[in-house]
Amino acid sequence: MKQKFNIVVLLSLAILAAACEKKPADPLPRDVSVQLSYNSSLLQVAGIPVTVSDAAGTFTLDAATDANGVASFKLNPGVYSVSATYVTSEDGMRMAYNGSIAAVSVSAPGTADEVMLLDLPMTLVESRQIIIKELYFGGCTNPETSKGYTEDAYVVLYNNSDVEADASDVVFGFLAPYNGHGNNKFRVDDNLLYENESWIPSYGAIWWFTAEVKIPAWSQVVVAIFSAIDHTATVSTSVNLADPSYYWMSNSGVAQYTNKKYAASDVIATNHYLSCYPFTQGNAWAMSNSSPAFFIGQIPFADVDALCKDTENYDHTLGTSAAMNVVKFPKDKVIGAIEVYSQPNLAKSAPRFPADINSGYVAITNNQGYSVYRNVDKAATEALPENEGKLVYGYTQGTEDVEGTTDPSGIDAEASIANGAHIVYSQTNNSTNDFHQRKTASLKK
Amino acid sequence: MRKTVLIVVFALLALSAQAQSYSFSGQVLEKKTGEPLDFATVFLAATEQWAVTDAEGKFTIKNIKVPQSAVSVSSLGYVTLSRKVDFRKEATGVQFLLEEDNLTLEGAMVTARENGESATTSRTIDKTALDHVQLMNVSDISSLLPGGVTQNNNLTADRQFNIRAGSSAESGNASFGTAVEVDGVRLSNNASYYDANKAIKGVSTNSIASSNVESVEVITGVPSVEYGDMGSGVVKINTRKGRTPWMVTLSTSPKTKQASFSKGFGLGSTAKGRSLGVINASAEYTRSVSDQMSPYTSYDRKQLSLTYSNTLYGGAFRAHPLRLSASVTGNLGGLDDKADPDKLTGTFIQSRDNALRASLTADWLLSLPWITNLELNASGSTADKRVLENRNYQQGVTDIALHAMQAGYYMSAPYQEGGNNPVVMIPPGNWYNIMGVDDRPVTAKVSLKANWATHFGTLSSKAKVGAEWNWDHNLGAGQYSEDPSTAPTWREYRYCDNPSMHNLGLYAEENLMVPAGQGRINLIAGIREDLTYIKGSAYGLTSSLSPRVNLKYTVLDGVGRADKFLRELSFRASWGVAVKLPSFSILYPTPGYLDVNVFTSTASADNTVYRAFYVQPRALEYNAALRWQRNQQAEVGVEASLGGVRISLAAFLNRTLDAYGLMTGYDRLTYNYTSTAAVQGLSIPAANRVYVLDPATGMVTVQDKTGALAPQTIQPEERKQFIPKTFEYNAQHPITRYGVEWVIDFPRIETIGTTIRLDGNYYAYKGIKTDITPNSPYTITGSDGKPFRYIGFYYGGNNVSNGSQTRTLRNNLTITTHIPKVRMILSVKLEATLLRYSRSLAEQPGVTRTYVLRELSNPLSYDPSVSIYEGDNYAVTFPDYYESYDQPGVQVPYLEKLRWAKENDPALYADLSKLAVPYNFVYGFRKDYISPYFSANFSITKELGDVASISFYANNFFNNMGQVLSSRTGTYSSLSSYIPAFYYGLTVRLKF
Repeated sequence: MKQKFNIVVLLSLAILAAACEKKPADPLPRDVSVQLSYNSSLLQVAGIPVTVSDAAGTFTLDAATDANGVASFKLNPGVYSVSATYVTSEDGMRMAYNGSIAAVSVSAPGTADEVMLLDLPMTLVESRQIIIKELYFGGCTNPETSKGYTEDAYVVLYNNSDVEADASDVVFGFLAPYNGHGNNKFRVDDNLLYENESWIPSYGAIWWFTAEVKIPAWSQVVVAIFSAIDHTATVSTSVNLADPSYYWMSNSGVAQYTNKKYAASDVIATNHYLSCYPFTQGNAWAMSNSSPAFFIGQIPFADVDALCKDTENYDHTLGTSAAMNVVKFPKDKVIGAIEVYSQPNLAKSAPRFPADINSGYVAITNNQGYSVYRNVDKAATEALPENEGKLVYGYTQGTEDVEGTTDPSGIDAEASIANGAHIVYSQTNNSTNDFHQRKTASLKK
Repeated sequence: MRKTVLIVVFALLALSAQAQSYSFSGQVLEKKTGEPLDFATVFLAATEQWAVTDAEGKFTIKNIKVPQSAVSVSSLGYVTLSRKVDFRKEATGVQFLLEEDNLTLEGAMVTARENGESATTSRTIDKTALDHVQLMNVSDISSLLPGGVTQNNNLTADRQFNIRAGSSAESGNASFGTAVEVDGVRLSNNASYYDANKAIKGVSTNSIASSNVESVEVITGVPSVEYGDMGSGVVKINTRKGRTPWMVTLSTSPKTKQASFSKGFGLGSTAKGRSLGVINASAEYTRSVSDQMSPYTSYDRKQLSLTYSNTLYGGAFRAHPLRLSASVTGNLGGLDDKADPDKLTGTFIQSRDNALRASLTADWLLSLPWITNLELNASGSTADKRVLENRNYQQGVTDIALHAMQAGYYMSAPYQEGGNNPVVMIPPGNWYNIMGVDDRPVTAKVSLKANWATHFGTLSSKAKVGAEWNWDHNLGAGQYSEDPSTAPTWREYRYCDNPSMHNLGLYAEENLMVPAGQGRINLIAGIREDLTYIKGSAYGLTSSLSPRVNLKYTVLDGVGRADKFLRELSFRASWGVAVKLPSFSILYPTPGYLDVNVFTSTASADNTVYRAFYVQPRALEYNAALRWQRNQQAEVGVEASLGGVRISLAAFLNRTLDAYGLMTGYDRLTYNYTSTAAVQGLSIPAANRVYVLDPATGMVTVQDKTGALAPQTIQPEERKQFIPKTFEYNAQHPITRYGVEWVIDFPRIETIGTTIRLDGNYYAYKGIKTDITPNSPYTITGSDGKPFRYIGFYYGGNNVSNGSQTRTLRNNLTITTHIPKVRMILSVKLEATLLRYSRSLAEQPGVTRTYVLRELSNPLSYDPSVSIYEGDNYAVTFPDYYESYDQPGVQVPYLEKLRWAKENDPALYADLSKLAVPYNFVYGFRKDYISPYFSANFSITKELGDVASISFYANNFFNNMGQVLSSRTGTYSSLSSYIPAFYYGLTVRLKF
């Protein structure tokens, strides 16, 4: 019993002795400045969230960068992971900067104000934001006459990203010659004369927006090419382009475009009128209704206007009359292209785009109501978590049953969008991979 | 001087009046049967007297002033017999035995026959040759002329004669100048608006029935002054007349079918035994399709001809017989694609080619000392060339049709029945509309000609004086609509309201023949005055003089020289001027209207769009200074027979002066423009807008149809632009054509019954335009975004070349085997084009007109140190000077200003550089030699007794589908553009 007592006493004394020992000081937290950098240069963007976590993942701190691209933390000594993501858009590109360091050891500061400077190198992943989602140009069959009706052409621009896109500087053009199967004087011995040049031969005119145009993430704008009217009021099989949100390549503002076929609906506001400087003789912008080589570029309108007015920027390979003028459009300003061939003339068709802009083609039979529609990037689309349960499969708008093509993803993009999904479209710069002939124009109701 | 001439003339008259008279009578019999031949013509070449045999085949010609003459006896279906007759020895009872013309006779020809007696180049293609080539379109006989090229027959495209000229790309309207006559009736498109404001072409030969053509004479040299209103070449088509058996023809080729019949029958005689004459009737149906795989677009020709002929010997005509001929021809037909299933349902184009031609010819043989005969010819022709087109229209928004004819601003409005509809709105959708063009030219002609043939010693004289009055008018209404509510833009322009063209031609010609050594000299000199009067127009009265001279020296005429190597030899030379009257499409170019869209509204829910226009009418652009196009022709020729080889050579030089052409001028227009955007921003809701236009100022006021908001007037933008006007003018430059033609007939190889002919031509053309020509690309946009406002003035037009030269060398080899025993004739023709050369030219006296260009997009990179004809270079032509809209009449030297603008004014530089005319083919001015090419054709004709004959031909029977090399481009191209595709045809003829 006595022995038990002694043990208790000793333990109590030991505890007491320990309690009376001088208490050591707590470790000082350290000021850590995370400096974002990209490509060996400072990424001086304010507001980028930077996240710091401890090794166990139980502790997380967030801080936004200042104007110098620096995010500041106070951290106790320890081991942390640091990461940052910055998504923005520039010149029509979705620019995703990502940086992370898995383990950073933060030691106690030597002095109270010693700052630990941590460099966080960012990597950049670029992807085109604005893409041509659909080009409807071949017209439909008028059931009253069995004759083709082709005044209803339109193009759909789509923001293929999760960031709002600025389309204000997007311009529209097509290459000479009109048709993929036409005699192409630019093509010699199966090579394009401008294959290795810095330009492509734009024909007719190049259209630009006359006001700011923003496309929200995963959204689109429609541009009527000839008449922005309700074509179904005239031809039942056509499309309704009389929508206030749509844009119009306005013949009205162009002195030489006097063709009486074209007009815009009351509901289209003037800030939705596009403009151009026609450099080729003709009373309208004569885009092919069978096989255009259509492109979009991104360039300020003043620059493209100057390009079109500069006669020394004209090319005369096709001919020297005013009706054959071609403007050299800079390749590096092209942001999207479709090479279309006429199905009945496939054997005679040849590319007009150089390979570094587009390879492949999509074939179409005109006057049938078909459009060329971009294929869905199945993996990327399915990878978006918000699409869970919203994607519609079993695509039926393909035309493989009539010598056409279909979207290999099997995803019905329009139905999925209607279901709330976000669609990521294919972007391989290869029209064969990226487009198919769609049975009905997506705007056809 | 005048007195002296009169004394000489009367002395000659007296001398000739005192000359002794002879009489000549005889009988014409059918050689095989000995039966008399009635309606045969006996003709004395020396005096141009004639007689027609009676029912007993007898004839008499009195008051013959020469002791001897060549006499020809002819009758339809028989071989013409010619021989010299001495009336002192053979005055009465002379018998002429005519042989039926068929393949049992030696000497049948299936090529063109040289008219040896002519003092100019003239050839005749007779019935045997026409049958052999299976004529479907009379212009097909062009292949029988020296160096002629065979074409496959097809009537779905217009064909013309084009004598001594090249392609239609040449200047000078060559085919327009070729005169075509059918039995003396001139076919002309003078009164037609055919192809108005476009190509000036000669008359189409499609509506001439080919089955009843008896012979065709083609005068390619300098013709008699009898022939006016022409440029180069006369084609005289003679149809069948007189008594003939029933003749039925059936022809087929892949694209053309033909059936025809004809019969010439006597009308009996009067109680006194006088003939009541002969009627020859023929009918033909021909159908041609453009595509044998889709034989629906077709040209039809349904023709009926009646020709009455008689010779009056009784009563007042006992001493002076009168030969009468009257004919009427009607044609129904044209081009029609209505049945073509490949066309959009309901649409069609129907082009009529109906014609009615009538003529009366009276030849009164007076045989008086001062006049031999008097010929009266009256003819009239009218054509119906109506074009009817049903088109389908489709438009998403309101369509606009403009009919305003007065200057001013117009707002579009829905069509009102019977109302004034200057700018009609056609509702959006789909509709059909039929538009027609009523073109009905009519021509009447009366001519009187007196011939006087006499002799003064050994000198033979044939003089003729004549007058002809020609009237051209058009009865057509021009363009019209069957449904004005949906008709597209058009303006009434009634052809029938334009003035008629009257032309009085007066001519005199002397034809002298004088013996010279073993031969003779023949001099024909004539002068023609054409007085053209167009009442009520700026043209007024125009006078044109056409002198012509032919001289022929027959050194050896072959008589008595059958055993000599040099049997015949003659030389000839001709020079003359011919004047081509203008057509109505030249005199009265269709007035143009400039319609400027000055306002376009937005589209309502039903796609209704209002538009306003400024309309600037162009009055008929008379060119009071217009001169009639002239052709100066010169020709030398030689004919010889060397060892039985007959050689005919002719060299010609033709210069066309004052060629008709179209010139464009520019006027200035300022107008007010209101953009769609300007109204779109108004506070009045779009659905309530009513657009009101001030017709004087073009200002647009928008009213609120509910009355809730006040009207709003929009301030317009002032716009300036050039408006073009087109008018006829005379080219200042001469167009030169020259060449050599040859025909060499080798002696018949009797053992195989074969003859060989070599014929060909060397042809050269050169034309350099020298007119200062204004041109503005006024429909493009200037550097300020407004309509382009500069005009360039170019020497010789605004093309990089202002002319061209061509040369061709063609040679045909025709081998004809005629086997009379089996009544068959076979010909093989190898057509060779040995030289085909062309080159574009750019010439301007004293200065360089077109430069080498180093960079196509930089007009100032031109290089004056190098000729465009050397090396492979781009080229550029500049205007000599330019005018701007704002400084009318101020001519600014172009190149000087362009250089200045390059440094100082980029916008001006951009605009002016658009007036430069670069050329992007480095081979543009290279010589272009097409490698020689060949085509082989054959024809065979076989008679089956006297009742039937059958002909078959195959063109390009080797089916040559090779390629030719162009030295200009260094590329090969298909021969299909140069020779006919393999083609064949069969004709069966029945005679009973």
